[in-house]
Amino acid sequence: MNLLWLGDPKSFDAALVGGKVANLSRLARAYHRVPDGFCIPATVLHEMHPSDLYDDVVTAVSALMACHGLAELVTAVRSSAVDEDSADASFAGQHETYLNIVGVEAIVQAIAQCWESAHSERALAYRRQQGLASERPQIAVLVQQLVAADSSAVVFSANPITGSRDEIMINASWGLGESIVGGTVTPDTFVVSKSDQTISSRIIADKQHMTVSVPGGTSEVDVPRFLRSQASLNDEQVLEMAQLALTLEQAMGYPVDIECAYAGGELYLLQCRPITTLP
Amino acid sequence: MSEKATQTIVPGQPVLPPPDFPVSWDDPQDAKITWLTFSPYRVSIRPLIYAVINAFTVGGNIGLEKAGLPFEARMSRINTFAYIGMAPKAAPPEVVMKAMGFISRTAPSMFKVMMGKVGAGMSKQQEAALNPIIEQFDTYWYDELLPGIKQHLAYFESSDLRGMSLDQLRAHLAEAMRRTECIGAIHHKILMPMLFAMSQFEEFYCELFDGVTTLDALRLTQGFDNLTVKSDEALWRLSRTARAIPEVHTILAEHAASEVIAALEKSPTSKPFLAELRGWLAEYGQRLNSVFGLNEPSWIEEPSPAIQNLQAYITLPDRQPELEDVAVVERETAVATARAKLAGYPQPVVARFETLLQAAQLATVVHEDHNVWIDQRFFYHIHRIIMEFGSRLAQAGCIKTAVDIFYLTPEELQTSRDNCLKALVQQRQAEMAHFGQMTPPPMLGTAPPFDLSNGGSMVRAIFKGEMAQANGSQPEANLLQGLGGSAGVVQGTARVLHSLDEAGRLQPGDVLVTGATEPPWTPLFATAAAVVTDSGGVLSHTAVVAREYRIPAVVGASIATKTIRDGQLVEVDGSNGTVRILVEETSHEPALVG
Repeated sequence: MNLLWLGDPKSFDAALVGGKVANLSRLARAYHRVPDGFCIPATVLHEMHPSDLYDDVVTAVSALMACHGLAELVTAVRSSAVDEDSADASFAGQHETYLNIVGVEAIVQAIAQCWESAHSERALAYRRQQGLASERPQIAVLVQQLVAADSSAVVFSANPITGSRDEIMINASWGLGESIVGGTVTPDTFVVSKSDQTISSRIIADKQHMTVSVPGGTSEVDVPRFLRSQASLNDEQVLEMAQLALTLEQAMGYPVDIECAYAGGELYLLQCRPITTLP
Repeated sequence: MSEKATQTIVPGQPVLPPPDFPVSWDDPQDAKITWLTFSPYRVSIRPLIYAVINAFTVGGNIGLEKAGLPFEARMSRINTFAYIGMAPKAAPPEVVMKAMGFISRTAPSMFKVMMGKVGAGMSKQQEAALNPIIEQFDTYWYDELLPGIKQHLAYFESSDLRGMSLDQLRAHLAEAMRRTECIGAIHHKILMPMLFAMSQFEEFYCELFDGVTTLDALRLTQGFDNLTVKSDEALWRLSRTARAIPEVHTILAEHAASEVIAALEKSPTSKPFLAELRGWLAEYGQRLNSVFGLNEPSWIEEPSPAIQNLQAYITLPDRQPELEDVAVVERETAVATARAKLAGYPQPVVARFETLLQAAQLATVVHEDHNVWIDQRFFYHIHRIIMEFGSRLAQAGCIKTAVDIFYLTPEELQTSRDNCLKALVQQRQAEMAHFGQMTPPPMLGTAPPFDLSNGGSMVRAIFKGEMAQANGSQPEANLLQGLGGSAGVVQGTARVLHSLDEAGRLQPGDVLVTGATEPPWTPLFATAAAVVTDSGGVLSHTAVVAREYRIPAVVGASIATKTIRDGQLVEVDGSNGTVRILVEETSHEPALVG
């Protein structure tokens, strides 16, 4: 087997799958809220061209579809940098993302694009110039089920503005998380008090834009007027997200910044990092 | 007085009526609100017909209230013309008018901002009132409202008019007036959410997808069976039967419409066809030639309009494929495309789309069905009751002929039992003869200080339904701008028809040009190549039915019947809402050059 599932301890090794994927894989093991996915370790991509992986991808995709009872699998395909010393991962072709990729053919093609990008003349020249350990590209590729988010959020288990450790702050908006992360929308802001698990502040913004998946990718569109000033999370969802952030903070031992989303009423955890800039 | 003697209208100020049109208000408050007259009412109206319209309108206020509209409708018969006034509910009208008029004059830009806020506030109120209704629109119509309409009709059908005494008929008329108020309430209770659903869907669709038009949106609502199209289809099938029987075909082709039935009765081979025709009339003939044309015969009594349609239909070839099939395929394709585009959108957006789609699809059916149930069938019964009462009054010598009853008010008919009725009739006839030649001033009372269309989502929907005629203009010589009501471009000879009596002049391939069409006109849509109206919007009856017939329509062209002359060759562009006059076909004057 050339592929490793998220949650499989073999994929906890950052040297094999990159730090981001290793982290996600640990979260998947512990919390079950991470969307299912598999990765192709850098070692495999050293030796094989993605087209040689066709049968493995078919097997993995079929297994996911059977597991979720889906007629088609919608995925995000991302490259994951393995050498931590490459300062400019995007320049080195190690930061590719293809969203809303549907079907085995398209998935294999996206993996190939990640691979080709890392093998591009530009990327290779960059590696030579930087005197990196190996001239061979060091990337893994992650194929993960794309959550059709109704609303997405970035949650801080401490208040990043006041520095208060007793407050959880949630920024949430409609659609996929890209508009929040990219700063193209003013999101709703909820503050939850850790001590009594209540929502202490609620600012519902006029949310103008959202990212949605469209055939072949994603697109930023206007939020329909009726939805703009509606809260993107209900109170129950706010508290559930806060609880998840709190659990992760306790498990990690430090304040965390998580990305998560609601899709079809289910909460999904997409990313978890330490907060490095608390006042 | 001609149309050209336009009134000077200053926003928020009293409108001065022309000198030959004296106005005195019974209630001084009435002078402070805006009174308008619309195309169906721009002719002199007989007092009894006015009383029916008034009862219907007053009853309708329950529906306006349910729709969260901040005003109620009043009616007034001024110099024989019917006017509708909109009275604000929250505050005395003069306070509202004065305040708005003052701000709009002194600080126009602030007024605009303020009106935007007021409009948004009103929208919120109307949406809060109407959204719960359109979310359950099918049960609202089929379980709550339609059974009520059917009960009224059943009541009328079960009453034996011939067997009633004069006193019983008098009481029956009073009961019919009361029921007219009830039906007005039901009518507006369905009309408001119906227009709202169609308008909200259309606005939502255009908001979601770049580069789409109103007509693209409404394509997703077409192709459902409605009673109007169903009855027209049945008449069309009758024409196919007629084409197959040589004797019937000959009788229809060679006789005047009014003589066809007598000729069919004499022809033994035509008997089965005649039975079918009578069956059609029994099922669909409960209609008057115009909604409030209560003094004119119904199609059951005088079937010529139906026969004229048959006479036109038999000259037309069979349709391939059937109309509704193409409409359904087009609709389902558009729905599937929209759903695919929305697949990756947040669930509340998809849910709103599905709710509005379902409501708008049903609303398009109800748009026609409520016409058949109320505008046609209910008022057919009112017509019968009045006519029966009238002929008995005439028999008793109280009035000269049955139709004289229309010159009397319900109150007079309840209280006066002597010969003074004849004098009253004469007085009213003289009054109508005097004012009947006039075009009434379109506005009386106090001019509104604001743009009415700014009154929230429901008011926008009402404008899209019936009040869009203000949009008509003539951007260049020989070009009329209205609203695109049904897509497509076609050329044809213009037939300017002012009433259904003239319908026989419409030849296959002609462009039907008229003020506004009412339900009894729709069979003509199978003969016409396109339709053009002065009034009505994209959600009007004309536009809805033209889309079902898949013929181009330009609605709300305002001055079409005045500008286009009968016989001219015109090009109708239903997508862009324009009508171009191409050739002065029958005119001897040189063609106008722009």
